[in-house]
Amino acid sequence: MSLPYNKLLQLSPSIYSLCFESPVDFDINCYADYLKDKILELEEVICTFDRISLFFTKEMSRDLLEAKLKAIGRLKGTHSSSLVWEVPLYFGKYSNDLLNYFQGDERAVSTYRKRFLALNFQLIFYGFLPGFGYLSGLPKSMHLDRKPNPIAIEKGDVAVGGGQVGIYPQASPGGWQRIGHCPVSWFNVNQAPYVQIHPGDAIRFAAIDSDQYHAILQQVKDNSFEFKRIVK
Amino acid sequence: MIRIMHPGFFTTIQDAGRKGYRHLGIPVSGAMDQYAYALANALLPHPSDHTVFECTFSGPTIYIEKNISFVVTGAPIMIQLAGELCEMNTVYLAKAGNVLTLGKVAKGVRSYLRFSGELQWPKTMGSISLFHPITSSSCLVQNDCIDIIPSLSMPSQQHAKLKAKKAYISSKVIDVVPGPDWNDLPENLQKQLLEETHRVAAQNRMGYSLTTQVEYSATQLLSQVVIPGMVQLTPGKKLLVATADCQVTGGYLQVLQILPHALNTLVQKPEHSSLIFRNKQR
Repeated sequence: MSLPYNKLLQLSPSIYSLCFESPVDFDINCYADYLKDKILELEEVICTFDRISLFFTKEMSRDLLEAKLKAIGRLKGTHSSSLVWEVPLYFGKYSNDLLNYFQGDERAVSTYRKRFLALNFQLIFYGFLPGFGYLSGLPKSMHLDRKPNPIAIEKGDVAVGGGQVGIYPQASPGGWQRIGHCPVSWFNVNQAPYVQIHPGDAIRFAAIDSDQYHAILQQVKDNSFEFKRIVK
Repeated sequence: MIRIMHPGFFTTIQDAGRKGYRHLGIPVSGAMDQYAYALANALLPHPSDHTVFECTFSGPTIYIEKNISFVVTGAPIMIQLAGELCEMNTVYLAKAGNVLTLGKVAKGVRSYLRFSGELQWPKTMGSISLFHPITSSSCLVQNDCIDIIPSLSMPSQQHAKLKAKKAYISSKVIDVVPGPDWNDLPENLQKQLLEETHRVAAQNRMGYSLTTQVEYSATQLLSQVVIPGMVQLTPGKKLLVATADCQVTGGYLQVLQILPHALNTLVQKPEHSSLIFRNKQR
């Protein structure tokens, strides 16, 4: 049986990354969960868009890992998460980057938003900042070039960097194009399991108006907001 | 109980780190100099407490309310207990009413103060390591009062001393191996990275930026896993080394990986100090 990855990178004596051809043609989070079940010595497994990184509790030899991976093989069938979350997205005052990007062409901005709302995304991983979600699912025609220099980004801003979509969990410098704003934090450090939306889950954005935006802000304040689950 | 009379320039509390939460975007943290951390724990071992105070450039002044043993490792720093000078890497007993003062580092950046006992400080995600915004504070502040339940077994010899390594703090050579994107760099730039003397432009617990300008424009990359010791080439053509509080993923070119023992040397380098990378290809 052939090895189930294109390249095996060793980052340290105890950390390896399995690299796949990008974009991957299978559910990478499912395969990561599968590996987590099959390999005992793991401290943590992390997906990025086209890699699965394995953090071992102690040193792991390349030969032994290769033998293990070969024996485990590819994941058969698809077992992707059946959870689809509806995430509110407010375009209100957060349109500057798209308008600039399309050089003031309001029709192009409106078309981009409509297409964005029609897409199904998948949360692939959290990274960069605590609770910064990276989503896949943006078609090539909607990729946006990153800014040459980072600017101040607000907590909750939804932004596109190349083909990646991300949600800022805190104010931070960032070089991605802001396309809208989510009034709800995806990450709560005070409450395990800290996130409601997990890697592998699907996401659709739903546009909200100013009244809904303020109503949600109030719910967030009262600690009563929960993301809506859509049945697939 | 101890009371922080003056916190020093930037003093944090660190333990073995926040492992197992990288998937939420949370760095492991922990001590920057893992050798000094391990030494402090070897000199004052405890079954469940591994905390140290990581001091940066200067240390705290502490009022001791109950008898407790302590040791200081890492960058050599002036230590005074009740007005008497103390040595590095040596266990002392501080008595109730004593003032313990750590002054400025003589060389290096980070010194580690460890008390013998169980530090009473809230854990977030299984760790005490300070990392804002996961923890509410990022460093000690004046008048912080910390309860330490003293170890039942005191060290058998109060001036217990282990042979401590010292040369690593001022070594100029940083051992590296090629990083995941090393082969993307043209040969002349690989040569530049390995032959040029680099200087530290700025540093904190997230990373070290170097002054070297590397004339290479990387294409826009997908974000990948970043680990401490990774030397990255930014779109601004600068080298950035990830350290203990680094982002868990990032989209820069990953050109070199500093080996663990050499990372302990790097994190003792202050701004403007120089270093060279030595390829220890496996």
